[in-house]
Amino acid sequence: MAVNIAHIAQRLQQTRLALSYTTDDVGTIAGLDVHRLERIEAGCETPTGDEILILASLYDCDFRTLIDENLPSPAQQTDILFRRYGDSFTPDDRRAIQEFLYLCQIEKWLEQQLLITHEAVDFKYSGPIFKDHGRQVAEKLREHLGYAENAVARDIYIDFRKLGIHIFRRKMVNNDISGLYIKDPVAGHCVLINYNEDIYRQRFSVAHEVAHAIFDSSEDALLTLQSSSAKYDKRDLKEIRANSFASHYLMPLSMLRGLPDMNDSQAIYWAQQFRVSTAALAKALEDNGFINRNKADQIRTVRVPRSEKIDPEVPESLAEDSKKRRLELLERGLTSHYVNLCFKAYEKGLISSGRLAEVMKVEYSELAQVSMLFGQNFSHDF
Amino acid sequence: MVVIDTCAVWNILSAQKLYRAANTAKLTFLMTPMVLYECAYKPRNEPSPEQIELSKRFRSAREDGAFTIQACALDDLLAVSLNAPVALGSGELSCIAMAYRMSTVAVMTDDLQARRYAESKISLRVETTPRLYGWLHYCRHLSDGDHPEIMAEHERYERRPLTTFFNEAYTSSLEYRLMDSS
Repeated sequence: MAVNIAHIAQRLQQTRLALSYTTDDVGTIAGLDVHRLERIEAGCETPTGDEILILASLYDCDFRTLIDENLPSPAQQTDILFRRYGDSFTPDDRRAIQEFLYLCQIEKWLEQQLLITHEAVDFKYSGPIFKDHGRQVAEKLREHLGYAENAVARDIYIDFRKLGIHIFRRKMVNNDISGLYIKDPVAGHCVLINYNEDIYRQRFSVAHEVAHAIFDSSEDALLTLQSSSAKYDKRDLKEIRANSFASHYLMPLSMLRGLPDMNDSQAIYWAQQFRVSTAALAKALEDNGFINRNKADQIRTVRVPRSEKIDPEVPESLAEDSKKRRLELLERGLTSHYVNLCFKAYEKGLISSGRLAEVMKVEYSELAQVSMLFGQNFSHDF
Repeated sequence: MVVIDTCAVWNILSAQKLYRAANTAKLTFLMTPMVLYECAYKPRNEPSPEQIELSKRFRSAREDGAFTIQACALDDLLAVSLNAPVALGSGELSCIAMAYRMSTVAVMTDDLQARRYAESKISLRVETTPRLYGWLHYCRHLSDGDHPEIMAEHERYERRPLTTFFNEAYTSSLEYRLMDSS
């Protein structure tokens, strides 16, 4: 492959700016000479292989995407998002989103290498009412995945990953952000959830973003704000449809219909059964005409205790220390699904130990500890 | 001369006698900027006390002039990465790319995949930390009494110790010495 210096210079600068780094930042963080970096970005000097590798590591992208004109630019999809919702993202959030997107691309590559296939679902819907599209598709998907009418989807992360959607959760600086959806040319459908949200709110948000993947992928990138945010638009039909899908997927009408009149403790009990917030349960019951406004307001006043909320990605059986460590890793984007894929690829000799540490975003020295935490075998093979 | 990757750096520094013996034997370790970045600059998530100590040893070694920096060329990086049958880490790739056109430089890595690729696909000379350890014993840069001490220190600082392979290398070095003297 012929190296085009002007093209590399442009991609390096574009990516750095998308991530809100100054050349001084890059020089300090990566130990690179700032003057040389500026000359490389101006197309006056050719970068070494090491400089490209270091910058790719800092910018969370495949180094080939900084060089090869035939590959999409690392900043291509994030650029769309940042231009559309620019002031919503702090520099840290921009970098978190870039890292998330890179994890999605790696996950896709690992799934391909490990010959993991996904469910193909025909998401047909009809009629002019957006809200009803959400219900139709949620019911169809539940049926496709084999849920009985009275069954609650427990691990919806597994459900949606079966569709080939890449889902990661991590803490964002801007708490107005609930989640986002990106259609990446390499990874496909990518969903990021703000880990700062309540565990059950995250569940709803995942289903909401998955609805964007199903209905709105032509948009390339969509940001969902908290309903409490000043920028949240209650009349946005796409948002209404996504909420409807999430609500019907988590709380099917067939189950809501049979619920008894609830006092406070029963409201908490049923919210816990559905693994949703009482606010989401109240809205679903009210929207479908099962309760009136007063009753819905009453249900909203009670809460499922935080300590009793169950996160399917953090096994309850873990000891407190292990759970704490797993949560830390989850906050950094390391889901069990992703970690298991990484170790499986290492076991099969598809990636080296250096690459394993890189794709897991951990130190080489941390690998042994992480492997134990996820019950993986990580022995030396000479 | 060997160009050393990140995991091999930590393995060598995990036992001070081992590192000192390598210096006494006048081995020259080269390091690519990518490996330097991984060892010294890359942001870390709460390093353990052991990792902090290894980083201190690394800084001290650099101050003493060890680990001479030598970058890989962009063309060489592309050449080695295009033909790699497995996905290698950036540090491993940069070492292999650096040694790609320099027949006098061997690659030092403790990763099986990186070693297999460098040896069998692009015919580079590859060394490992256990092999170095065995050679240092064979050449008597290390004594028999050093062995348990080195193993204990290595196991203290390396969560994924190479003890089995160090023991094998040590035993082999004794066997070779016996054969030489017979």
